[in-house]
Amino acid sequence: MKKNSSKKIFFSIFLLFGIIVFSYSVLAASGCCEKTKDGFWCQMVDDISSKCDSSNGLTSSPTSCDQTAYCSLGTCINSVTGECVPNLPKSECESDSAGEWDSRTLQEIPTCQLGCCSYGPYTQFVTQTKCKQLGTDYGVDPIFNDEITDELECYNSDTSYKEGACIFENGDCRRTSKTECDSQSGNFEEGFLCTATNLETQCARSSETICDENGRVYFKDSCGNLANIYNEEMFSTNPNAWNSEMKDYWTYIKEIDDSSICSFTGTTSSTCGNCDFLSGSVCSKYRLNDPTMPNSKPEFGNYVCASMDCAYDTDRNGEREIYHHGESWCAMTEGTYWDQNAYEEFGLGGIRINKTTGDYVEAKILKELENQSNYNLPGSQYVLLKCIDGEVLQESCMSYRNSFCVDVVSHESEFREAHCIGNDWRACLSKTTKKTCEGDSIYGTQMCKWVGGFRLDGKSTTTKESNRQNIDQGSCVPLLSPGLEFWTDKNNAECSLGNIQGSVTYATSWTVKRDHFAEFGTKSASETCMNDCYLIPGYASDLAGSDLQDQKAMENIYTGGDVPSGDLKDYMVSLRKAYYCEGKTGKASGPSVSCSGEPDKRNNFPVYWTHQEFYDSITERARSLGDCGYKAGAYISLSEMNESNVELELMTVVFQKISQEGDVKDEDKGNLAEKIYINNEYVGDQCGYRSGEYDEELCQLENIPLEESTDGEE
Amino acid sequence: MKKRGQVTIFVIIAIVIIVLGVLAFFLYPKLKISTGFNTENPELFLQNCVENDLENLIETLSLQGGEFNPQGYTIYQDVKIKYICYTSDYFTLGLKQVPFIKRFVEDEISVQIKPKVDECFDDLVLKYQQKGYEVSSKKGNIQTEILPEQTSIDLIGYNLTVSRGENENRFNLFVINLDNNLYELLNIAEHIVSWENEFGDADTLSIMMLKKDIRVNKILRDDGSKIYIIENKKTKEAFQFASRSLVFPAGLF
Repeated sequence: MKKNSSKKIFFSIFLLFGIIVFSYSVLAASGCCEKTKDGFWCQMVDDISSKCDSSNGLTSSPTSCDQTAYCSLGTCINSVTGECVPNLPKSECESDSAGEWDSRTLQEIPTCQLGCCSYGPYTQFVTQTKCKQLGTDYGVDPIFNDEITDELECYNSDTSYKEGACIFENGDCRRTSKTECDSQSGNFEEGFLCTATNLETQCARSSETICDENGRVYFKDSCGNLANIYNEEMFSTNPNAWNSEMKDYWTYIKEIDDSSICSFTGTTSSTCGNCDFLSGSVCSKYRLNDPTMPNSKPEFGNYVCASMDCAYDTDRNGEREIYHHGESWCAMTEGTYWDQNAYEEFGLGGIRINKTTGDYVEAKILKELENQSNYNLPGSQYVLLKCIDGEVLQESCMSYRNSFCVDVVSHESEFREAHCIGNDWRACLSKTTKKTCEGDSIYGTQMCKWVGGFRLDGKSTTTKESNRQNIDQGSCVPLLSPGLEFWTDKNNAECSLGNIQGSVTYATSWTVKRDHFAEFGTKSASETCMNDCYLIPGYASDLAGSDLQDQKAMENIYTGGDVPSGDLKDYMVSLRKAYYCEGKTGKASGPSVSCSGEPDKRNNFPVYWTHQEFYDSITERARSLGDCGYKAGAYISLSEMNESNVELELMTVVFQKISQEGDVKDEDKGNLAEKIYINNEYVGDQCGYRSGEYDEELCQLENIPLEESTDGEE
Repeated sequence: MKKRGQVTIFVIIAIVIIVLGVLAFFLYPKLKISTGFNTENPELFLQNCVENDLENLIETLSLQGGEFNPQGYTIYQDVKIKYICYTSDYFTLGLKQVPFIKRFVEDEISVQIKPKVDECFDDLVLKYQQKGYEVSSKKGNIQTEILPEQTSIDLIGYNLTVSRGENENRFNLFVINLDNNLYELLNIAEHIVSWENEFGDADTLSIMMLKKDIRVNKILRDDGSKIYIIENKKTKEAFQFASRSLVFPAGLF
């Protein structure tokens, strides 16, 4: 009995504990808030109990928002104004007293279809109900045209708004619409100017001019009304010089497309006031010696059509270049792509792509972009510039180079146009063949590049006949290296994608004590190497005047050919037959490896022929994968190690004794001999890298001579 | 004789000053307003009393994305700016956080200006009482309308009946107007937010190409948020708001 009750108590405690743990896990669950405590509608949060607002009947659930009824997306219709807002959550829409939620998309709702709304002198591309609202707001009768389905077409369409002279009993006159004239109890004469002589108003022709709200220069009558567009030939101070055309010009309102309205080419004019804002010309008060002004002052009045062009020193050479109103182009920013020659030749120094195909306009752009040590450096960001009304505005492309600026080149137009386009670098990492890597793209713009060598999935696909050149032995990496938060732990996973760890087996003689591998020199290490010899710093490097960094020369040896001169032992290459051929032991001698001439006896080709090739490949791959550390000034090549920062890239070589089976020998476990290489140079461990007490003076970059070891059997 | 001449000159100067004063009083309404309270026109008193606060309120709201105490905001140059489009996730489009922006700002103005309107209404009652009127008054609600080139505050349900002797006047139509271009700025904001919601970004260049007097600045922040500043180049009025839509992280996820 006692035993039973203690069991019950234990069970109850266990159950209670379970309930608490379960409740906690449920309460701390991630999910969808109808509204967060921060005030955001329909957001996913990691802890709904602490982050969701539960006041006023608001709720949450441990599911994604699209699975909830309250956050279902639909169209929200303003029952008062008729505005239609697409993609709005149900609860948010209904939180507004005028909001009516409809689960259909905007395109499926007839009342939400857009058309061209003319109201007074204005046009706007809106819904029919919104058009009515605009009419109310502006106090005019709007006209809705649902046959116009394009915003620009709507903007350029004629309005039904007609103006005329509104004449009052006292002889005063105002240029206005009929509706407005009627509201002021005036006598409306449609299409007439207040200066029409037959109307007998007190308003007279005048030589004064004024800017209208569309940026054109207009004559102004003596009552202050707009007349027609300024044309210096349509006014004279000599009463006898007035001809019928001039009188007509001061009698009727002329539409913009009327043949009597003047026009001009270019962006400036002091004789014609028909400035075109979209083409970069706008009404402005004349200023002497201003480059945006026409050469001469106007004959009448003070206003002219001035240029809206911008002057800007994009390439920072001290001279400002001219850009047209509305043009956009890529800026020169530190660490991003810039081609000064192209800038001087075409006026575009950014990444130029073809407007039709999206492809880079020159092969050299792609080639240069592949140089990850010059472009897309850590901290760099692309910037777009645009010229608007004489002012150059800057707009940054996305941070971390998630987008980049391209100058869009069209053969039909010289008008400069640039955009920030998305850098689709994430897609590169899932591509496993050279063809898909360099061929697939969203915009037609190549975003990835193929780096021959190791594959990201670690597989080796080399065969006895094929090296990595033609069998997709390589990695697909971003062409424009993305930014990563390498100064925190956040992107460790991305950075580690480029990490490489390999092992080399050496053959030694049973007569040689094996505890001194750490002191092996490059030559002896190379000669006794039995697999993946390219991992040995300096393998197949220049020795005795012969350059075996040439991959072709190494391939030649591997396939049974002779070394360029002398014997194999004169070069820094493996002398172990096992390196070249399956099941072979012993030492290779003479100018070639006898067994490797026969393809069926040969080992599969190594991924790399030389250490330099290996190093170049992994460096390019790591740097292309993102900002995992500093780039500029880092290791360039074996022959160009000067001025490198020793802290940039380290290679650690670990020596261990292994058994015939390839396992680390028990006696050597926990007793690793490490060699640290900086820029391919052995610096030993005296620099204090391992202890975290790096001392530059202590750490000499000079190559420390290593003992030659004796060859031996495997 | 000299003294008499001087007096005459002083008298003439005094007359001129008085005439100028009277002329100014009638010719310049604002001067008339500043003289204080006109029993015939209580609306003018309210307009005068509320105008400055309304102007300041609209300026504050315009800087903060339309909300006086912004919920869901980012801080830019020490100002809390409301996110009108927002997602906390990466790779997804932002959701519009305000269904109808103009309506939202109108409601916000109504709520925030009501205490001042009520205070002015109380002052108005007091002014009448000080002038010996018997006053009967009732307060109501505020309705704001943002219209082209002006913002209009309708005092709905506000009644004022003043009487002195046999004269009785009833006032119940009070409208306070403020000239501004908030209507156009909010229209453009609405346009930009639609783009942000649909595409994750807005093409500010095309807006500026179509709207001659408008400058739109887009400021990209490190977290992927954007601050849009829509400015009327002529009047320097501006409306700014934040958006976070289609943001990509540093790294894969």
